[in-house]
Amino acid sequence: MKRSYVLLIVLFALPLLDVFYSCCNCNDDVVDHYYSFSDFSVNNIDNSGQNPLESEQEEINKNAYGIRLYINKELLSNSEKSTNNKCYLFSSSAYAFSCDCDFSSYNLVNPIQSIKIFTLQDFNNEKLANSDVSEYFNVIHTYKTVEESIEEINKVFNRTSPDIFVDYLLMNAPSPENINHQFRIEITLDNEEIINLETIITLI
Amino acid sequence: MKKSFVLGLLISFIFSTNTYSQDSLAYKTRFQIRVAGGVNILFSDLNENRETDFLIGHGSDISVPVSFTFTTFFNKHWGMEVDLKISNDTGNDKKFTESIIQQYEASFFSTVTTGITNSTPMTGTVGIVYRKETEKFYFHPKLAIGVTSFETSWGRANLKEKNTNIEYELLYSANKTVKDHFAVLLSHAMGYKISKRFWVDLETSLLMYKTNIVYERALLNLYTQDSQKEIINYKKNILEANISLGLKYVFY
Repeated sequence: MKRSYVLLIVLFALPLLDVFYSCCNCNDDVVDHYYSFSDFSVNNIDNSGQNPLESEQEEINKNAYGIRLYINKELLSNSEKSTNNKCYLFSSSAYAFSCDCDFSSYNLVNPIQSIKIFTLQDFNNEKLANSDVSEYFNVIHTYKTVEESIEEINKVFNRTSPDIFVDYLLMNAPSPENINHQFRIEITLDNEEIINLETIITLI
Repeated sequence: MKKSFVLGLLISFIFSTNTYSQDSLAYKTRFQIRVAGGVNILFSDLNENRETDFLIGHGSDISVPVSFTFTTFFNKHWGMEVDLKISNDTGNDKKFTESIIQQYEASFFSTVTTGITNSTPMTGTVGIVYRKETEKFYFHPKLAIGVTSFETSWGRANLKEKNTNIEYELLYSANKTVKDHFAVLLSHAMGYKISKRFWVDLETSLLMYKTNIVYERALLNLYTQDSQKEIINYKKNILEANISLGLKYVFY
């Protein structure tokens, strides 16, 4: 009777020990990818309705105006393999509990340092021509500031659809006498490269 | 031929009245199980003519519950009964959505969601039953206490103001998701013994309980983060009447 118990314990314990004392070997599967911003563009949006729509109209309701910033990203060719031997436990085995190998990692080259929106015409009494009016714009739905949106733009990368856009809504209407507007969006990258984009609109 | 023979046998078994002598089985049953279906009528309902009425899983004036009852008698006249009633009355996702859209459509586009799961309201009671029987008829008045439970779910709407860049979040939340209420039940069943084992009856009952549901309506301007709150109370004394037709199977 006792021998059979001992035998049962040994039979169950061995696989359990094997599971406890094991780890993953991710040597062959991890690839580091690098990507960068390839293109930026802007469009005016009309947010009068339920959802914002890109507008080709010359006039948009000043209380429902926004700027859509398109950001195109591309994978670079200098992807490389790296070692990723994450041993959570002690010895190698095929029966690990968990095997959190990072099979691919995506690293952004030259992230965005700043995004600023300038008005090229007088906006109101406080913001005259060439003033920074970034504070008047907020991200749609979340109402994050332009500066707060940068972290999300730099972080998000979807391999199947790498291009994204961000809608910045104008939350402060201009003075009634100023209806013709021109905005310059200035994007500064980590390598100090500056990209300037402009959009023209009549806000009624 | 075989089918009609079996059917004939079954019918004669159920409706046979000559298998026992007069008065020999009155008060003799020890256990009874009953299945019944009926109609529930709310005399005092939970409606406040607000949109939150549709988030409460027990708002209809009339519903159709089914019940399962187990009765045991420990002496000639007195026994104990356990009853479970399950209703078809649930919250109404569609009506809540329509109510919100209608309320705000002049100035907003609305996108509405709710947490209504259509979980069925239930009432469970335990009580004492008194029996008065003759050879063919029986009368069972009862007094019981128990719990009645029904869902009180959340509702949410995103309101996009027309011709502006402003969005609001409208949220309705109750102090508890599922409400359990202590209840008192008074009922009376009158029945006929169609055979030795199968009895039918008509039961009328009154269920009384008090609700203490409080909904909070919060309207949040997502840009300014300004919030307006409102309390909607459902603190009421509820009276429900139920009429059901039941089939009993008895054990001796």
